[in-house]
Amino acid sequence: MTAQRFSDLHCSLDGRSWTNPITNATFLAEVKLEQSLKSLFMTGDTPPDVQLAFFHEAMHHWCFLSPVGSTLAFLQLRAYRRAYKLHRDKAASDDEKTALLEDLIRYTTASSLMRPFAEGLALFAQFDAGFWLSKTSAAVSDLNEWANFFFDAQGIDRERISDFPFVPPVRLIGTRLSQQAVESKAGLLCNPLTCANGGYLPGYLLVKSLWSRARAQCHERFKVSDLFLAYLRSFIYDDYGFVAVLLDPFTQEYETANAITTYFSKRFQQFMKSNLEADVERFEKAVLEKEKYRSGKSVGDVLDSGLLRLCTDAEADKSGRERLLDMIDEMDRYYSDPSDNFLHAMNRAALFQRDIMRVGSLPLSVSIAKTGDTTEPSSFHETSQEIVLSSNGKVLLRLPVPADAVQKELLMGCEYDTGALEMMMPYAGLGGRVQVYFPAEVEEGEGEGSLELFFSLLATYRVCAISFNRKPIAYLFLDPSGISDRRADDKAGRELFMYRHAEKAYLEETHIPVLGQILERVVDNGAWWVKETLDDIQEKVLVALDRFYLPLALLYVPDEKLDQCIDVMRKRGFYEILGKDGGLVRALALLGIASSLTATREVIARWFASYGLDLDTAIAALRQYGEQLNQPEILEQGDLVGCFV
Amino acid sequence: MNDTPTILRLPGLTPLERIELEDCLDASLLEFEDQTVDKGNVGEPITTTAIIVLSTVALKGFISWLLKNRLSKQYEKTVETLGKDGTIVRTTIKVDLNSSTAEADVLKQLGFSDDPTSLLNS
Repeated sequence: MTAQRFSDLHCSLDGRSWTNPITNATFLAEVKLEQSLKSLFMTGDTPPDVQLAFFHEAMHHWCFLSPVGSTLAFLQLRAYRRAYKLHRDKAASDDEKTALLEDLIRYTTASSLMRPFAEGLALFAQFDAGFWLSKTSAAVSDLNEWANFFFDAQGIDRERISDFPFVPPVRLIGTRLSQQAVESKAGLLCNPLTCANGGYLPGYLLVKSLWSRARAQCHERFKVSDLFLAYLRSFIYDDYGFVAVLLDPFTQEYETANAITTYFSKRFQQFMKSNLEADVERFEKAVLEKEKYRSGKSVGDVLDSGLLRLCTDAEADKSGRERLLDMIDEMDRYYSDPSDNFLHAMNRAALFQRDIMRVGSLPLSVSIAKTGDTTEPSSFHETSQEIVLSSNGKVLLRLPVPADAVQKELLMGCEYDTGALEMMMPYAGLGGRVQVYFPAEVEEGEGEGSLELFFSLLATYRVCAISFNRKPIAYLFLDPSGISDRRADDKAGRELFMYRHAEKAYLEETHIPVLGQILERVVDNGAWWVKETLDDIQEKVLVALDRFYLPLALLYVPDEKLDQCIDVMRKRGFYEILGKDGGLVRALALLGIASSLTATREVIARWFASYGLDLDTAIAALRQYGEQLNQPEILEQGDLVGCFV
Repeated sequence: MNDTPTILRLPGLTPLERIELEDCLDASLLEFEDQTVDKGNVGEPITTTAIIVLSTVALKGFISWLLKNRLSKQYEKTVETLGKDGTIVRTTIKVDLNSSTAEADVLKQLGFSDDPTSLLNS
């Protein structure tokens, strides 16, 4: 075939959303800020594909912002610094190369090992997690709190959500039942059942199997998939016992890789054997304590309370905490070499901005002019300038700059009219409320700029940052509740965000990529044994992945059928099991999504009917194919239906 | 006609959509590019971009894929076409499976406006 390739085209349609485990930087391909400005500032309605991508990437982001996630980021940042020193000092000793190898083994072993699990959690967040199945738990996960904060129920099929009139968040139910969600999940079910290339299907089936197992143990509490998701995340990512193994100074090379692999695998055995009923109660308390923190308690009070220690030996927990503190301390030390000091400072900055999630970014034209040049002066407030943001000649946002605005917080209103967002001074009870901050005097001119939307996972605020020639010129904080309280800690949070935002672009676009290239060069061209050992360990870990994940992913397939089931699903997942019938794969995807929302047969049948499908016919066909390999597993009991896929 | 599409590009295909497209079109008429993310990043499941060199056979295969086995009777699919003169056009095709002229409607939206039915019958 001689088709001309399109690869030289910039095409946003091609984008896949991603999260970087080191910087925790995110890219949400589905977010089109140009089309979403009104919803972001005014209504909060967001299309289903954006919500699904948000859940997936926000889950990754949340996992990486944890003791285990931060430890891994630290290890890789330290490897960058060590590689830079080796690159600079060609006569470095073998000890320094060994130290680099050790950091790399720890990071690559753990991140390869955890990748399918991380994807499984993110997919569970995308397709299943919610808090609508039970009223037994008052705890809401951070993930769903952010989602509540971010999205509203507009633009979804009201017919389908009418079965949940009183239980929030209805918008998520509409999203899950959308065609995009079902098609996306049907695609997931046709992924290869291997851990290569991310291990999406094994990771997802593993998490679903664990949910089913957990529900069997403490049914009422873990009916709430949101609580289960938060618990499972915490069980692995908040585990200081794992941190202790990752930072263990007494192991090296293969011994280290073995220790990490063994610990991770044993952790899942602990999950299956532990007394979930008692532990989840403690966990719920911890989550509710954390909520109290938001109204005045310190994070330290919660972290030190020990409530989050789930099945981890107290000694190992203590050791992990100490090693993590030592790690932070190592970054805070003073180093006599200026370049060392700089690298430490930048790495520290990279580590401490990891709570900030970039939701969207829009390149646009910025024009800054004296007010008289473009608009009538405001009758309420003396404005000296106006910032106008446009894209392809179309004005998207107008922002007046008051004469005395620099480094002050200003409460402004906003209106959306004739396709543009108008910021208004002063705040006069309009549709939206925004806290605006101009970090410095704004210079007049025209040029390239950007509008970026951020979200802080710790402080729960949304921020739009406007930049002109790569320099931030205005911050718009979109958090009505925070603004009305006007608490001192909110203000401090906003100041901290602006301080960290100023460095964020440099860290993500220059600092980390350049150090990454240096690291690759040092590993490729440095001591042969570093690369050889690393490659060998990596190869062994990849082989171990399928052996670890696949039996857990197919927990309900009998042992004697396991190998056959793996063989059948290896290339095209459920497509092969279901007789190469794409329609049936879609029906299974819908049934899986529906079963996470409710077990009531009548309701699920209505959702099937809304797609022109008959539930009974679909279940009969799925059962027929499922008989041979016990996959997919479908449960029916009276008026209830369940599905483990 | 210089603006008649010569190459069709379908981004964002899920693994299931890819499998079904392979069933409708001969492998020699199709090329796939996985939509990747940078090494070291984690992200959404892999999606694929299909590239189809347009011919009558390929067009028939593409239309039959577009009109089969969907969850909804009305849906949209965004495609990109490359014309003979190098013009690239991004189009969101609206498909209505209830319509008796669904095939011809899709062809019109793709830019085959002269006599779409004769193209399909040839």
